[in-house]
Amino acid sequence: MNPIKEVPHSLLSDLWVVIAAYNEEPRIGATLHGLLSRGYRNVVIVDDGSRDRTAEIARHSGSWVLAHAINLGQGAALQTGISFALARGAPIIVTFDADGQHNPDEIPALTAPIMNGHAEVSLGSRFLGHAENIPLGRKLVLKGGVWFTRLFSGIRVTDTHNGFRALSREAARQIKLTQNRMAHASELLDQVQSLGLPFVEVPVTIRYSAETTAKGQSSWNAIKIVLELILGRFVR
Amino acid sequence: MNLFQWFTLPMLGLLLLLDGYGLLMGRPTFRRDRLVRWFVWGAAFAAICNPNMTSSVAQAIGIQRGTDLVLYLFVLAFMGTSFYFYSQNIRLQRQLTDVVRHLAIREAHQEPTTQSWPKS
Repeated sequence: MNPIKEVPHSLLSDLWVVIAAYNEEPRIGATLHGLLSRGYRNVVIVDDGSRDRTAEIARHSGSWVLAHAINLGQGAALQTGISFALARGAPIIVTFDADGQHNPDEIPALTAPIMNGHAEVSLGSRFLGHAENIPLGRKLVLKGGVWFTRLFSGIRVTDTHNGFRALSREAARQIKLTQNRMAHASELLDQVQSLGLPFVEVPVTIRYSAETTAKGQSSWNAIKIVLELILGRFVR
Repeated sequence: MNLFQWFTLPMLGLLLLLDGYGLLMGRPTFRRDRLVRWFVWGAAFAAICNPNMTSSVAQAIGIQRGTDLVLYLFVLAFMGTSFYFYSQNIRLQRQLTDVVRHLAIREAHQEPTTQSWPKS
């Protein structure tokens, strides 16, 4: 593992890291270690109805653990974590994947635009940064998602389904994720655009492994996401 | 009248009467639903009572055959009904999400850690 970078003291106390986890027993321990060993104190794990020991491992780490009684989906779990962090007075919230794809050393760079007051939302982009070992099919689907988002929401970003992002308190308060499953990522961008929240994209690294690729969303889910987003606009 | 008409028309007539009575005397809460149903029973009654009527209406609006008109109406009704149930499903799912979220936040806890996190 690379040597841990020094994290500004104010960031350690101001930052709340929200992680949605579903059946992540083999990976959640390392992900939590990566965050807690860097001094991040406010880590919220939302166990989304896992059938394995995800919640137990998270509990022993000293993180906040919230448990969904049933599996609702990543979007629902993130909204639960964000609502909880807001209720605890979180000034800045970072959403982080449970499977170790994200690099905790990049949190300071991701949150810097919000800390400096330059943006309310900071979006990680693997296409501005690095996507290690990304399968070609996944890359093509993600690029298609970028174009769909431009047409659907009118927002110009380079990476639409990156779970590594930071929100100011004000942005987190205004954004309400209603898409329980994977469509939440596009919904979040849609709301950033419609609410007129200032945003920036920050280069980040996403590490793909055979394990995370197998567990991840199939490319066919992209079609489902598009349908859910379009139909979701008509249901209030 | 043929056997099918003898069988269906009294039933549709009864349904028309029941919903018509409900429209006039029932609770206002369900008035819209009853009205929609009343029109559906009424259209079915008229179409079965006078099968040539659908052909006349179809020709009047540029569709050649009455059966085509009925098919198109069924397709539209199917799409509308599907979307209605989809919407209901989404609303129910949102309510369930709110309940699960409320419970999760209410029961959130943080155990004092027994582990140390050495800097590597």
